[in-house]
Amino acid sequence: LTAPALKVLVVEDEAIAALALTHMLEDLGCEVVGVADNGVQCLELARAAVPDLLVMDVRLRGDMDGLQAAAELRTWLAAPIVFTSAYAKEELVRRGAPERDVAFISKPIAPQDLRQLLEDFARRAQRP
Amino acid sequence: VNERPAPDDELLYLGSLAELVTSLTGRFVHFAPGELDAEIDRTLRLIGQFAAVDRSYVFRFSPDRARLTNTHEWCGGGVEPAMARIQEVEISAFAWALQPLLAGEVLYVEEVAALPDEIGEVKREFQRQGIRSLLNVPLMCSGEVLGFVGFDAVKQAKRWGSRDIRLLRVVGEIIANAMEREAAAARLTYRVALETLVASISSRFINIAGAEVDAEIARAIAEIGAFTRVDRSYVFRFSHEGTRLQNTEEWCADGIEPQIGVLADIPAAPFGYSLSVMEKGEVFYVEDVAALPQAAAAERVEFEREGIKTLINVPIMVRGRMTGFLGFDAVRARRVWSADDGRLLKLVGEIFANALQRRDAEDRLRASLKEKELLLREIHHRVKNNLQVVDSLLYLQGRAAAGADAAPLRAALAQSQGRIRAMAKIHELLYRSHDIGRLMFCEYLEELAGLFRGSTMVPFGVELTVCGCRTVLDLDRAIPCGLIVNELVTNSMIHGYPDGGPGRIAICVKEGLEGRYALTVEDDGIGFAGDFAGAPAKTLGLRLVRDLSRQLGGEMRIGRPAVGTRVEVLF
Repeated sequence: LTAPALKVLVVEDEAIAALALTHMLEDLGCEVVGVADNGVQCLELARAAVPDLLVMDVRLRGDMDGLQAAAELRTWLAAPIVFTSAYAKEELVRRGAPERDVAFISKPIAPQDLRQLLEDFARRAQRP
Repeated sequence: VNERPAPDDELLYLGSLAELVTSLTGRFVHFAPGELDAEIDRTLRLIGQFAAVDRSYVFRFSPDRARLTNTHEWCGGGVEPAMARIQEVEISAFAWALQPLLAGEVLYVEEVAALPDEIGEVKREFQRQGIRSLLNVPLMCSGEVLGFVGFDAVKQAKRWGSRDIRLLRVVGEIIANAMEREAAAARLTYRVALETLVASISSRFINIAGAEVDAEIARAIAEIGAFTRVDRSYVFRFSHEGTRLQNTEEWCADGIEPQIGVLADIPAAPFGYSLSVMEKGEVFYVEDVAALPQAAAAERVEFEREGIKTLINVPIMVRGRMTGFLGFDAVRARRVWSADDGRLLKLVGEIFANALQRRDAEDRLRASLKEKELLLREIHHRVKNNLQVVDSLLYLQGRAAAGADAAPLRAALAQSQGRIRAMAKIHELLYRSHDIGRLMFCEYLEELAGLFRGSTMVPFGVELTVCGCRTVLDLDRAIPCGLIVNELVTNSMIHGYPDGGPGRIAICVKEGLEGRYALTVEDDGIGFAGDFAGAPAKTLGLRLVRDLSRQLGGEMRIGRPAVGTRVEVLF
């Protein structure tokens, strides 16, 4: 009996980067339940698919950036969020990123870093 | 009793009068500044004795002719001084006596007791001073009455004759002339001192830093206010497209109520009358606020609320447009400003305007630089994003190449990804850096090492270290350097440790003499095989390193250490 695949929502407004990230996640055994390219769509897809994890770009096109979308999500969804950004964690927290159940991974995303993060989350989730 | 003299007596009298006047004139021609009062006192004594009177004196009008002061007095033996009685007294009480004097005529009273009672206070005052008879002659200069010089008879009534009038007229002329000369000297001294003050203010405004302009303006108006003995000095500036006025600086003399709290932000419209004068670049000068015309009724209400009697306002014109004004109020008493004063104050306004104009230009330049910097950051961000897209494309391409025989292709694509990431990192650091356009090279090397450490390329047990100075590189040199390091480290990782670690790959950058740098990558792996060093350009990686070294205006040197490899790029 294998554990069910981790349901991941990808939020990335650069189509090719989103595709690469999707493949990367799938190679790591995740199920990508959706790809949103803006904050509003992210909220819609999250409501529909209820992901276990979000991988989200901080800078997004449109009125709602990744940090704002995360703050909105946090009001009803406990799933951890991995922010992809070139900025340091402190800077993002200062700009309003939630502090709990978040991780930061710098772009360009190295598959090893992503694997490491997923393993960390899996270990934490298994703990009673 | 003065009787008509015999002809011989007349000659004798004229002789001694001539002697007296000659001596007085000589002394008045040469008197030193500050000695005028003593000279007048001495003259009063000499003429008093000469004419055998009981008192001789000088009275002066205030500049506005509203008040009268007894400035000098000589009294004969046993005669009580009266000078202290008439000090800054309103002239209205003495209208009867002053009427002829102000008209340039002689006041001659032979018998005070015979004066009609209707003339009022004057007669009583004469009697209080014990005067029986008096003779006053106006002190005139350039047709203007400054005051008068006179004789009193106290002990007994005296009939005055043409001799006495002639004497007082001559002496009056000498004194008035000396007074005028002293006043002219004082005006000149004042003018020079004010010019010196304005010059010193002007010198402080040369090359003044933008942040200090306001403080220096405040200091300047305080200095001018104190020097010119006004009661208040201030600066107003327009805001909200000229519809409001802000009192930004104020100085007040001791005991004068500040207005800056009330006037910090007021509508400009009620000051239309004065502003319309100043908008033409002219000085707005009101010697008597009470006499302002009906068109300035709103201003008058405000000026009177502040207790202002005399006001002078000077525009601050920046590029032909009035941006504000400075001003000086007289509150305790009216004050006369000369046209020269007005010109000097206008100059001060120009000095302020010039400094404010320069500060505006500096601010605009700074804002434009800031804008340019933001744009540059945005461009670096875009370039980095585009490089990431290329990186993703290569990743996707590699992933699509399935099968064991595609391994070399996947490896080549992965190497290309590494090169692109090395470049993307530079753009990322640049848009995150404080000083855009310059890169802390060690910081970059650390980030690059981080990329390697996060990749599958680092053989197990091999450590990657960065050392070096705080070298700062510009973009032109940072990109080739980054690519060189990427190639050399990739080379070491791929070829240096076929059986894994332990090992250490060290990246080092050192700043040498004359702005030259040494960039070294060394490892303790198995080293180059055979005569590799002799033909280094056969692999793409080393060829890139060689060509990029040339692009940097430097050269690549491959060392032959006992253990591992060492490549140095000097540029």
